[in-house]
Amino acid sequence: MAAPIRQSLFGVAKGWWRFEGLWAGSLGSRSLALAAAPSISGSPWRLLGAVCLQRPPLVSKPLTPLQEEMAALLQQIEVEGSLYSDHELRALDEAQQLAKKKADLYDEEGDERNILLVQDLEDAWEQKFLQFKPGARITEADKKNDRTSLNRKLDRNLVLLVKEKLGDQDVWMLPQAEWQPGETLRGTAERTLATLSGEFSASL
Amino acid sequence: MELYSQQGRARSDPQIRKGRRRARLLGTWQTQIRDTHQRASLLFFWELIPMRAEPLRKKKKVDPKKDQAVKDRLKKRIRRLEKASQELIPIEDFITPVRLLDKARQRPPVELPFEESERRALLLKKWSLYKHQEHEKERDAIRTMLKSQQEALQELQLMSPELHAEATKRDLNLFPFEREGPDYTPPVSNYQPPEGRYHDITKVYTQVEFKR
Repeated sequence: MAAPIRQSLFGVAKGWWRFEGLWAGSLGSRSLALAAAPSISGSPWRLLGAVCLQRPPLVSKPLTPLQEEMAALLQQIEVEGSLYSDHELRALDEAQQLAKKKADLYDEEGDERNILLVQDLEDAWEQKFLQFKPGARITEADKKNDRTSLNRKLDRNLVLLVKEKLGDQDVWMLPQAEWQPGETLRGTAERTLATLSGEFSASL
Repeated sequence: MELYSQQGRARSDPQIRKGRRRARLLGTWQTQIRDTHQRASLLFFWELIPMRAEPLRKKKKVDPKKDQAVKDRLKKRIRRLEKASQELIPIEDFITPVRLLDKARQRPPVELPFEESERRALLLKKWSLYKHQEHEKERDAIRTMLKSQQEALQELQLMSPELHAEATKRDLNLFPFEREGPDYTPPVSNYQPPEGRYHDITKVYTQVEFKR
């Protein structure tokens, strides 16, 4: 795995239902299911605790066309219902002065004051903005489709899966460990987390 | 109580008593000798005859009463302040700054063409439908999650009541829960913030609680 990156542990323990397939279930709570365990006195079930390790999204999802349209409309309505800002007032004054100068064809005394036009300011701000390079939303790991990196699919919630052998088949599933009598299922999950290889830090 | 002269010597000081006797003998006009600190003790100390000062005032016996009266006045003032309604902390957001009340700031009202207003109305309708569907989906997702959680806990209860009891205990580490939401771009790894100091100029109001 990549260098230590903070992840948060969401669901704690989930069991493996041997007869019914993967338990698609709740994240965000200590939900427990059970499996066959001869370790519990008398019962034919075995109990396994699994851990659902998540990397929450770092980046917001791209907007759908409808959402884009709506965002634009809301912005328009906000601008229409607002007052003029200082910058806009300055722009209006300068436009007026320019029109007057063109009409009158002689230099006004107030010429010395407005060396810096609104347009110049806006250009300077634009330049400064272009100099800033924000982080990429679609990372290299996305392009290479590197499934082991944490930097991929920054707008989705990623869950850790491990490949284990179940009988004859190789199956991708949540990391799990056998429940030992004397510990809670939450303890089983924590043990599973500890036995995972690789460097990471996760909080329960 | 010790009575002190102008120069801070006690009235009962033997040297001053001597000086007083001599003053009576020689007359008060022999007084303007000021460098008394350089003289020997045999000479007179005329400092007891303050020629340029006012006559010594007697200490009044009404002093404790006066102090008491001053304290009472202060207490009365405090009580009046307490009774008066407290000044409320102003909410900055609700007070329009004066520079924004200028008429020149008003935007001219926009007259929308018919097509534009129709487009807006249709878009708003589509949006409300979309949000309704989104809300339904979220609600269903949460419902299925809770249902599966309840089923799982029931199965655990059937299997081993102790584990179920431990699973349904409260986790005190869950709250307070804090998480920063997703931004538009991920953080840049080698970002150098611009140099400078951060001056926080938010106004902080304090309300003093008068307690009796």
